[in-house]
Amino acid sequence: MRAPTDRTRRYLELVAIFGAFALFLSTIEYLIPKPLPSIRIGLANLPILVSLSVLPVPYIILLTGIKIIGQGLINGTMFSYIFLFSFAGSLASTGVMILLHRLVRKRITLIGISVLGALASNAVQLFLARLIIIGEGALLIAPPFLSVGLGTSIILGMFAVRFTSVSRWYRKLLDAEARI
Amino acid sequence: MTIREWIYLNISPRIMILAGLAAIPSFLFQENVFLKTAQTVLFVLLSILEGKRFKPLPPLVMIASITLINLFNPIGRIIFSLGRLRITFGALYLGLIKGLTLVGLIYLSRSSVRSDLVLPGRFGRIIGRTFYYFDRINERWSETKGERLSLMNRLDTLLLDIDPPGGATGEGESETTASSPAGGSQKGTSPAGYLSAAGFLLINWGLLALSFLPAFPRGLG
Repeated sequence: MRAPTDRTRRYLELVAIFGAFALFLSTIEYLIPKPLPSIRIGLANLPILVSLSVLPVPYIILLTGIKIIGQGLINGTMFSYIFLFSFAGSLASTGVMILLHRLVRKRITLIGISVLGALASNAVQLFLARLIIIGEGALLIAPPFLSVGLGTSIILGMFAVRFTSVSRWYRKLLDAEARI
Repeated sequence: MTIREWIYLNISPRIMILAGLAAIPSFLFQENVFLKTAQTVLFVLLSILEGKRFKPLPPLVMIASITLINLFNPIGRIIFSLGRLRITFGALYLGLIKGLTLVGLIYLSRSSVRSDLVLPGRFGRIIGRTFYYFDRINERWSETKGERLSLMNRLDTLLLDIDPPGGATGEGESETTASSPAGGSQKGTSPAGYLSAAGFLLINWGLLALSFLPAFPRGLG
């Protein structure tokens, strides 16, 4: 059996790998042309979805923090409203995903978790947009914004389900988790 | 030597981020649209000089869409009407200021936050380790381009390759104490670097000071 320090180190290493994976996916997302700059696919949420079964809650929150700061550093949005939106949206999304996974994991798939997480994120971001940038006009962008969020989160959830079922790396993680 | 190389050699990431932070109030308190546009253009130019990607369409669309949405909430003097929509001076001004603020802050961040910035403490070390893996992923991703793998297999192979022995999957001896390349990249700032950072701040605070002169009134004037 490993000592607790080894376990902590293993989790931190895993957080760094998932964090790097999230940054890589957000770089890919940045390169994909979008009709409007505010529309996002949310690819960087995939590592958080996948991490739900292999990381304890504090480490998932740490991973979310790294994702937010890393994205701010890589995309250079750290001082902007986008960082605030990303911060609030990501925390809301992670919070909802953790709650669903811990409370009703047997009755919900990663697709459902992804969709509800994305909706939580979108709702918080729309609220902030109404509060800070566009006022009542936020209601105008809500339908397309939420529709895109719904569509992309379903695709992302399906990808996560497939990834967790075929990935050899993920299988190794689960085996390592079972050993300790 | 390119300007980007000069900046990286002469200005440390910490001075860059401090200069960026010190410039924020001068930008946020700027209420003259033309001076705010000048500051935004300065931030965009700086980020281009640093070798950051720049596509003109997204920021323009962002400013236009924010301005357009603000026009639905009429404030003050009517400039003209488009059917039932009254285009007002106040709404146009607010929309432009908000759009410029959003875009300007993005480019201020891009120009002052560098990926080789090392944050202090334990959290900073984890960030450094994350960037180490990020570099490995990018490297492996390029190497696997020629291999005929599905996206899923490619990602899986990549994660298996970058995960060190003793790392996340817990196999073999630990290598997790290896230092991150990001950890050793922090450089000092030369006198010319300090001067440049001071010049950047002087221009921004100078533009804010100009906005208090009668020639540059608050608003679209």
